[in-house]
Amino acid sequence: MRSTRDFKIESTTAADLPAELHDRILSAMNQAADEERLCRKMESYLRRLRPAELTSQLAGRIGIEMYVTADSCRKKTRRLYWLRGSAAVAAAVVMLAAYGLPIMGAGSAVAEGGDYGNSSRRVLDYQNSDKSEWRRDAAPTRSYDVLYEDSIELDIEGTKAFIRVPVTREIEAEEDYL
Amino acid sequence: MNDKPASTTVDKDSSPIDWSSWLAEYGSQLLLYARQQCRNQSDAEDVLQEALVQLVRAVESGSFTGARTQWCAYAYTAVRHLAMDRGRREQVRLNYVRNQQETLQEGKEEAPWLSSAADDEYLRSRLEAMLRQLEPDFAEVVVLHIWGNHTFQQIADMTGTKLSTIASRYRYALKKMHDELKNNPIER
Repeated sequence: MRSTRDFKIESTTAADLPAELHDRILSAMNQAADEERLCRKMESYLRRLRPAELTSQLAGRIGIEMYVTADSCRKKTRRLYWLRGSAAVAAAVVMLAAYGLPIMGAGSAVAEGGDYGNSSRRVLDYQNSDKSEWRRDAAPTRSYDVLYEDSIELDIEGTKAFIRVPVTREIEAEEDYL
Repeated sequence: MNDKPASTTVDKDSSPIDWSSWLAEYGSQLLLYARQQCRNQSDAEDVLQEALVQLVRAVESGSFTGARTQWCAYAYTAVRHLAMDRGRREQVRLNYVRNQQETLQEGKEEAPWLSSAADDEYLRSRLEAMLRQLEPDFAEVVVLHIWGNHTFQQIADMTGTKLSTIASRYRYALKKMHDELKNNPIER
């Protein structure tokens, strides 16, 4: 069955095609048109169909796997954020200590003549120490003065030994500073 | 469909991802492709599951940089690669026709690939049987183009084949199915 799309090569005024070539081309054109119609027809059949739905069992199984995977990935991401945050905070503390910037009350120590910029531990220990105690126990020498007690806590066989180490400084340095 | 709560999280666009909805939308067409790629139903289901888990992992971890509209293409490609990785593809190539014929004759695989309206059931069974009997490479193009809504260019990119080859395969597949229908017309 030919449709209106069948091709016909009309005679031209310029130069008529040789009969043999005319038939060959016409045949090829009609064959191409046939193939195109055939494709459209088969496509129309195929497009009336749909992929079969997943069974509820399979959908449930895959859905759970996807849920678990997504959850796991989110936890990993959160852990990474936490680690990055912790690293950033630690780096900030180290930088602040290294460059001698006052943090969380250490400013008072500086005001009292302390120079705690060389060790973050000293600054932190100073905050936690009893100022009156170290002032009372300070050695009244001209050369050295006890600034504070550096404390080290050691957990030896469950007994938390608390060792105090007096930290001293030359008076001259303080005078120069003042 | 799924008793678990919808797996929602946030993607790059800060909008929530509902994987359950995504699965409901694209699951059937991906399963059809998996079944065309694999030897049997259970293999196809395993491959589909693995491919979708890969997709979720890639999206959630941020390693997949494509937009949301590209997830489906990613899943199709994953299905294809996984089917190949499992070493099934070669066996499918060698035994495809024989297996399909055996399957059809013995009624081993009852679950249909396609669905249809009730009055098209006979058409469905005929077309599905013909689709299964096509060469895998030809059937693949039909499945991806008709039900996966992929262009020939996308299929060529996905399969690493020339565009002209894909177009030829498609035409050949439809012609073969048409000839089969012509020899044995659909009767109701």
